[in-house]
Formats: sequence, C-alpha cells, structure tokens
Amino acid sequence: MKNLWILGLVLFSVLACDSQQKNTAEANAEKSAVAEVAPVVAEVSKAPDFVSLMQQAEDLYVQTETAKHAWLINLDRLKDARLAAKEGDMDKAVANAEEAIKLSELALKQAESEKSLWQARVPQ
Amino acid sequence: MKWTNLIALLLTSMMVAPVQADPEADRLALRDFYQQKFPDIDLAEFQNGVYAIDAKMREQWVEMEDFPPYEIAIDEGEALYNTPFANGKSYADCFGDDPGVKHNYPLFDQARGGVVTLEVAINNCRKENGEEALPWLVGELAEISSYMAYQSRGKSIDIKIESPEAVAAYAEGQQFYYTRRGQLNFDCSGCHQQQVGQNLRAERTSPTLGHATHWPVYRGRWQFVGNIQKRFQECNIQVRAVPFKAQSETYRNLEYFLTYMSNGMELNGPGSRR
Amino acid sequence: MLRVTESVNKVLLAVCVAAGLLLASGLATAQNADNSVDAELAERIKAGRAVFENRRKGNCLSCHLVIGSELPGNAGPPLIGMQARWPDRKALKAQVYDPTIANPNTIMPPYGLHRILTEEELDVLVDYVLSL
Repeated sequence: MKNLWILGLVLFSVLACDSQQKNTAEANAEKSAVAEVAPVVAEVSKAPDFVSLMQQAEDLYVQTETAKHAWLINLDRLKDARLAAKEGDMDKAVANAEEAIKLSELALKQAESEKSLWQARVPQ
Repeated sequence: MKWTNLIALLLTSMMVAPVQADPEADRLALRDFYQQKFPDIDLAEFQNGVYAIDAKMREQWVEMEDFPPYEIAIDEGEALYNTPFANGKSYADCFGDDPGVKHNYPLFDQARGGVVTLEVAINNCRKENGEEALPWLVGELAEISSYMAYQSRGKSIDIKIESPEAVAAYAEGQQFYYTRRGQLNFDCSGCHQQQVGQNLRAERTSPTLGHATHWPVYRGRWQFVGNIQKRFQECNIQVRAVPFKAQSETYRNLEYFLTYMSNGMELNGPGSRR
Repeated sequence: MLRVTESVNKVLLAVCVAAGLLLASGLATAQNADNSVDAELAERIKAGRAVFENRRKGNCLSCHLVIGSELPGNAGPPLIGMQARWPDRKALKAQVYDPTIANPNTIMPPYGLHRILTEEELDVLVDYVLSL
C-alpha cells in the first residue's frame, strides 16, 4: 500500500515536471528568454550577498544565450532561485543560483570547445 | 619586390585567409557518405526520409498516404492563397502565376542582406500589401506553404549560393548543424549522420540528405501541419538546449544549409510523419 | 456456561494471534539482520532502474538494450553481462560521468559532467547497470 502511494507520488511529480518543462520550452520558443530573466533581481531580496550572486547567475546565463549555447535546465534553476528568494528560503535560493552558475560555466565551456570540434564532423 | 618577399607575402596571405566554405563540395561529400552507408538504396529515394531505409515503416506510411492527413491543409491553403488582399492584390502579384515556387526557397536576398525562407516571403508579401504578418510555425501560414509545396511537387530543389554573403550564411548554418549543444550535448549530425538509421526507442533516425524535400509536415505527435522550423525547435528542446526564435537568423541560415544539402532532389511535400 | 466457554475461546484466540504476530515479527527481524546488506543493494538497484528508465533522467533505453525491456534503442551497445565487462566499478561510473573522455565521438551524454544526474543518482544507476 505504502509502495503504491510512493509510486503515485513519483508518477505525479514526473508528469508535473514533464509538463512544466514543456511549457517553459514552448514559451521560450516564441519569446526571447532574456526578457524573462532580466528585471526581477532588484526586488527579490534584502540580502546583498544573494543579490550579487543572483546578478552573476543572470549575467552568465545571458552570456550563454549570446553564445547560442543556453541550456533549458538553467531557466528552471534561475526561476527556482528567484521564487525561493521571494518566499524567504535563502538556502534554497542560493543553492539554485549556484547551480545556475555552474550550468552556465559548462554551457560556455561547450560553446568554446565546439568552436574547433564541429568541423571534424563534416563529411569530407 | 624581391622574390623572397613575394613568397613570404603569398604564404602569409594563405595562412591568414579564412577557410572558405565550399557548398557544392560539401553536398557531394554528403551524398557519398550516404551512398557508402546505404549502398543498396538509390539516392533519389532519400526524398522519403526515414522511409527510404525502413521497409516496415514505409508500408504503414504508404498506407497513410491513401488518405493523407495534410490534405485539409492543402485545401485551406489554396483558398487562402486565392483570397485577394484588402487592396485588391493577391499572392500571385508577389509569386507569379505559378504558386509552385518552393524549389527556389530559401534564397539569399542581397538587398535585404539575409536568407529569405518561403514563409518569410509569404509574410513579406502580406506586409507589402498592408496585411498583418501571420504566426510562423502553424496555422494559416503553414497551410499556405502546404498548398505552395503541393504545387511544387516534382520540381527539383534549386538553391543558389552565389555571393560571399550567401556563402557566409550557408557556413553559419553548417556550423550550427555540426555543433553540439544543450545539456545532453548533441549536434544534428550525431543522430542524422553518425547514428543514422539506428533506433532511439521506437523511432529510427532519418538521413540529413532529403531532410528538406517534404515540408510542411503533418506530424502524428503534433496532430497538425507545421513548418520545418517547428521541428528545429523541437530538436533543440529534445537535447535540452534553449530553442531559437522561429525565422531567427540562426534558423534561417540553418534551413539554407540544410536545403542546399538536398539540392537537385525532387520535392514531395507536404508530407506526413509519425 | 456456553457463554463462558465462548469468551474463553475468544481470549485464547486473541492470545494465539498475539503470540503468532510476535513470533512472526521476531523472525522477520532476525531475517532482516541477516539480509540487510542484500536488501539495501536491492533497494539501490531498484532506484537505479528508475533513473535508468526515466525519460527525464537517464533515458538509457533510448539507446541501450536491456533483456526484457520494451522498445529499446540500438544506438549504444546492449547492456548484458556487465559485471564481467566492467569489473572495476569506478571505471564504469567514470564512463557514465563523461563518456567523451574514452571516445570523443560518442553521442552518449556526459551524465555527471553536465549535471544531468546527481552523484547519488549516478551511484544507484551504476549499481543497477552492474546487476544486468
């Protein structure tokens, strides 16, 4: 019985995540993601450390967009960081902002290394 | 000038000169690649996409073509195409007497300084005649291009890359195609060249050659007719990359490259896919 | 008299049931103690399988055949006899973490490097794959 409950919960959360991911993706397909990300920082929190951390996360994300290497998951992390800060859960907010920074760094690294790697895949 | 200087100058200019993309050499190399991979399949067959390489899936597809799900879109598109604009003019004033012009698109427009897809040309025609632009990916615009694609059936794709600017646009599209992106770290060629024909769960991946022959497509997964850039976005989302805007420069250049790869192949759109 | 017998019977029954329960739970505890390591591994394998099959996590069936799986892909090698093929657990984990180190051309995603899976998810995934 307990297992059934857990299974139900897992199923529900997977479905919920799935549809949320789709929605985010659809939304971003039509309008630029930058517009969604940019303005919220200032009002989010009184903690100055978090404000600068969040600013860094937003800036890095914009860099990945400019490099044409933005990752979808990053939008979720930034959104979760802002939401958690709004609700006063600063640990969660910081964790998500830090994760977003790591993801951006990886995306930028991908952009950089692909600049030379792509050519080898063209049939000669 | 001493001859040594001349040689030095020649050498440095060779080293500095950027590697110029050669679209025709790329296209021929791609054809060779698939010919070697599928020696028993006639290259003209690749206009049928994955159905060129999968007999069982082809059977179901041919059956579906008896009552094609894109038929309504063609009819709607024809009606829309022939409805005059408020100023009395019509699409024929932009495209000429024959609506079957898809084999010429995308084209590089020197005056506009960029790639013009058929969908961009349709919306340009509307705007020049005082009409609102239509949404890019689905709905009326996809219906109009379905009708135009249908009228273009049997014509061979004839993309021209004639200026240095056009070559640059092509090269950008090519680089996009072969660049890995997204958290899952895929480039287009990973599935459609390196692993072409392999199963990803129940689906087989289709060859790059022939990717541009059959659009717009009624896709079972969508339950509607959509343009090729809708599929670009879907692919980007599948590898967990943030998709680009429909008809952005990035996607227009990608479509330019991808369509050139199918140059000379017969159009058979609109199509249906699972 | 009849009533008294009945109630005695009821009490007896209750005592029996209680004793039975006690005995059963005692036995179960003893067994748990013996098999706790196995049971824990079984749980990890179960969790690993979930990560393996979930399309938003590993989605490994997309490319890999596992015996008994429905509609597996074949872009990657079938996962059979993994204990023998990967005697070093660490090497297998490193392969899932970033397969492009061993083969730069592989299309397999770098599950750890690109933070697609967490450390814990990687660990249980490796437990599951080694059970194949």
